[in-house]
Amino acid sequence: MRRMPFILTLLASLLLFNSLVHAQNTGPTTVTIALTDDPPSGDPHKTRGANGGHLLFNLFDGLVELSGDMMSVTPALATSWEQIDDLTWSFTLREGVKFHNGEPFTAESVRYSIERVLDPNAVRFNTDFRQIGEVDVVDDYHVLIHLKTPDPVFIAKIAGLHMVPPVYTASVSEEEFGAHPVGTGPYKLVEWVLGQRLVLEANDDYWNGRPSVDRLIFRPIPEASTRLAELQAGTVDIITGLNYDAIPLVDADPSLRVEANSGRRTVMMHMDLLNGAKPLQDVRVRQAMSYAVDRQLLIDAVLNGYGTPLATIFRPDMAGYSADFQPYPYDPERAKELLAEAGYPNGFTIRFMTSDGIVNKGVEVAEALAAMLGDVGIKVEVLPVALQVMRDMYIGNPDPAGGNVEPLFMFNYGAAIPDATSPLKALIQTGGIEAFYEDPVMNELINEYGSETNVEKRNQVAHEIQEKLYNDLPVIALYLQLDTYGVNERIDWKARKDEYILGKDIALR
Amino acid sequence: MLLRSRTATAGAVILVCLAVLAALAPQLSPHDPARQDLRARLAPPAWVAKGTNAHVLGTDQLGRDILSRVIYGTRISLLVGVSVVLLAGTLGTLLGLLAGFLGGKVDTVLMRIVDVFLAFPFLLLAIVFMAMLGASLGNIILVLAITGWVEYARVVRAQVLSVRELEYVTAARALGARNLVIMLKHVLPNVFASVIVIASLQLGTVIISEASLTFLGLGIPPSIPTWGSMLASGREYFVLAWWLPTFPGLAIVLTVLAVNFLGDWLRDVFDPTL
Amino acid sequence: MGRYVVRRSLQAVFVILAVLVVTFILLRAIGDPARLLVSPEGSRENLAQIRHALGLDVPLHVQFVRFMADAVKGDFGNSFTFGRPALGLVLERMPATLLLTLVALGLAVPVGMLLGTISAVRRNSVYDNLATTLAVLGRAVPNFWLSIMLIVVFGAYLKWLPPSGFGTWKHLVMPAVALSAGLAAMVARLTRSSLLEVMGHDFVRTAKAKGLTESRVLYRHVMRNALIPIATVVGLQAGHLLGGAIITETIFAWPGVGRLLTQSIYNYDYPVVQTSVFVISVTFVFLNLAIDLLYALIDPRIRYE
Repeated sequence: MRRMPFILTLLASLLLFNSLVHAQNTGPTTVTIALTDDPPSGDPHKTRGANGGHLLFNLFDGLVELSGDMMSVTPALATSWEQIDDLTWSFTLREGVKFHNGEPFTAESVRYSIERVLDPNAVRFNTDFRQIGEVDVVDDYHVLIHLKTPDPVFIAKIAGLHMVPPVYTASVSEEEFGAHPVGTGPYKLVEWVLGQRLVLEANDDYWNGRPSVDRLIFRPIPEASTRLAELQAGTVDIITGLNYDAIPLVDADPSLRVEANSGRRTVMMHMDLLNGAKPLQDVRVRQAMSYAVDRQLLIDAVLNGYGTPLATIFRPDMAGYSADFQPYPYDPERAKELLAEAGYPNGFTIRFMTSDGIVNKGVEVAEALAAMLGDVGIKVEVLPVALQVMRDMYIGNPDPAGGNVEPLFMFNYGAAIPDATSPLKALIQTGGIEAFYEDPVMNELINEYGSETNVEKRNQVAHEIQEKLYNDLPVIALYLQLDTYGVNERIDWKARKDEYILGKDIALR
Repeated sequence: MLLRSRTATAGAVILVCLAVLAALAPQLSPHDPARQDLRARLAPPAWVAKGTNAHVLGTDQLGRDILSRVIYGTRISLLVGVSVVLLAGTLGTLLGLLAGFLGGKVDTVLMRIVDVFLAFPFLLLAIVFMAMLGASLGNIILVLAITGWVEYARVVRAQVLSVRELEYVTAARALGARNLVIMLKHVLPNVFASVIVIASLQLGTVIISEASLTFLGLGIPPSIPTWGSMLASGREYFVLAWWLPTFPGLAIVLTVLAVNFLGDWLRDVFDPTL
Repeated sequence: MGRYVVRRSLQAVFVILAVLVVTFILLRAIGDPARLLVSPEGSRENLAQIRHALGLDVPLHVQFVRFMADAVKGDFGNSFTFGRPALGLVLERMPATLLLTLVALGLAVPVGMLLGTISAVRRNSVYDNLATTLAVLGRAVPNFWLSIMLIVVFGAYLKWLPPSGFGTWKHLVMPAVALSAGLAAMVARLTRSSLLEVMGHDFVRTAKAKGLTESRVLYRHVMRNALIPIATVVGLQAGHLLGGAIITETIFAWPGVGRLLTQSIYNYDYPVVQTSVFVISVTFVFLNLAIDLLYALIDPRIRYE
């Protein structure tokens, strides 16, 4: 008797999916997007994860939004805003906006959302918002936000602070909210089967007009070759992380094309300068390593040209970027001299941890770097691991909870706004979550950069920081990595710098 | 005797060739297998348009010579395969014999340990090992051997259970032969056929498992060329540059075929009942 | 027999407990899940917050007692990654894995036994060589190589089958074939060698001498005896498959337990790993217990004292 229901379930599920797949072919307009994995949660105030942004930025809005190239801030749930003084911002809210469940969006929603993201007793994704103090509700459509410290890029940061409905959110558990998120965004979540698909449907009442694509389906497909095959088969419309070497293949297919964003991720060799390998503690060795790397060849060969050499972790679009600093030229002779000066005329041996998840083609890039460093005498053993193993190694160390840090490891940082505060605080400033460097002057400069509101003064500080980054090399910046997507020609879509695939950017041809 | 079986002859010839390749890798390889040439990446094999004679089987993503890497890969793949089979086979056969022949408490305890091993996800064990000990050749062998003995133990035990009630064994026992003697003289030869079959199958499996571990990001460091890692890192290139996954893949297929053909033949030879 | 079943069942429970304890310890040895959950743009305060929220800031033995106490009550906790109950996540994935496993076994066992029997009966003939070669090829081709080739050929170019995913029978074809290739080869080889071995035994010779036809001998005497090693290996393989045809499920984006397990091992998602290992080990242990008992039915010479 017990066997019957099980077999029936199997059959029923097969039949059910059969009909569902057929339904997709007719009916509403659908765009299918392949992700590498499931987003962890639909809760915008929790950790975002690698694939989370695609879901969250379709479901939720902030008070403002960043354009696709990150260069301008445009109105979203706030129609206008004004900086009253260094520490006070006033927002006028859009009237008549409703959450997907019908709850009205008001000043109370803003207060609730900000307080929720700052809740010290819960798991929150809130580094960018810790400067926020109090929220004053003036009336239903006006709020005042008070800051604890001045923040020159506050307005760009809050584009990522998503508004949630207070009544619904308070009435369900955090887990429930994560599985059934409700926002004001252009799409609402209608189905989420982990490991299979995430189905989003257009929000008829969206304040900025109903998006043209009726339905978005996100499918988690972990294997890159499978994603490419899905694109070629026409069963998926957009794939992320298109292998650079597959670009000619996609280009040659008349039904497909390649899209690339303008690059958010800076790729670097990161080092433990607190307790790591002794040779790396000498700045001349780090300079030698920077001279030994042929950045342009690396980009042209391994990345098929989809990258831009970098001098420091400052992206050209970041506030205070200075073109005075150009990437170290490829100069193996100079590198050898510097190594000899530092007392390593015959080089040394060092381990280099990397992962295909940390940067595009992470293992290949590391192997190429190892060969370049090998040419000047530094013997590099490449150690490829899973991304998670790497993260477990470098995050939050040194840490009372233990863990050994590799002396040299591949790293990338993808700042969500065109500003260097967050990478500097995370990677360079002592105590940062991925920082292995100690320089009191630098630490002070980073604090100044983070809070200076006078543009001219801020640029000056930024110049000083870049000079120190360039000369002392707490990390060895390599290049800005462009992300490539394979796209079906039946859709109109441009890749965004923030890497998110948003339904409102997509139209069918 | 070997020549009577065509498949076994073929298998032996292939294996001898591979052994020669492994032994003479430095002399036979046209290039240093680790030498990169970023300006000549993904060069096709010599007989394909744009191919050059400098790289007969073409080059990989970093411009390394594929022929040289396949030749050097023979060493590692055979080393991993043989070490794992020897380690796992010896341990598994011994434990299986003990369990099957002694029965009782020894059997119970051993078989429950086997069950724990089998019920345990291999991947978890592999990740823990690789994370704690670091990715190296020795650790790959260790991980594969630690999980590989179980198959021998189970099959050997099952065979012993069946054999030990056969008349000649009960007769030997009745005549007062000691356990050890019975086990070695009468039981072991009977289970040997199964062990050979498993070993020949496992030698292939191990070579493939090494590839699978690399696929999962847990393999041997890339500086050591292995067929498995070449195949795993070339898997995105089936269409883009077919020579990347094809040649190491063929090397694996050929080796596993040869080993299995030979295993068949060995079974016939070692089987005392035929 | 009855007492034997009871004793083995008790042992099975101990095996499962042992697996759980080992899993608990190994998981804590590999790494800190909080580090994977914190945002790269986060801070050390975030890290501490997450550790606290997950209950990882208390001593190990306290964590263990909590875990066992909850597990006994059937509460396996919430997934660290997805925030949802771990047991639900695992059970949700079971049908897909069982479907794939059963279909792959259903393909592999008959095909394998057929090839093996042909080899054994027509030993050293062209048929033997052909069948052996075919069987061995299935095993010699690395699984992910075969899978990707199938996807490229039948999915991307011929467009006969969807490259990946779960849903219709069409989605099932490629993963099932990929998974059964190695399995069929193994069954074929074992069938061949067991048949040959049994055919050499006295009782078979006697039967033949008595004038029974060859096919009669094959069915009545040889097959039955050859089934033991085959059943053993199929049982073991079924266990491995349940534990996840990890690579097949990953490549074909098949929403099974294997992929969930892989994903959660990599995410150090303790509750989900513990739960999947529990579910898999329960299934596996009892499946193999059943096979052990079947021996007694297949081969009357095996006695259980």
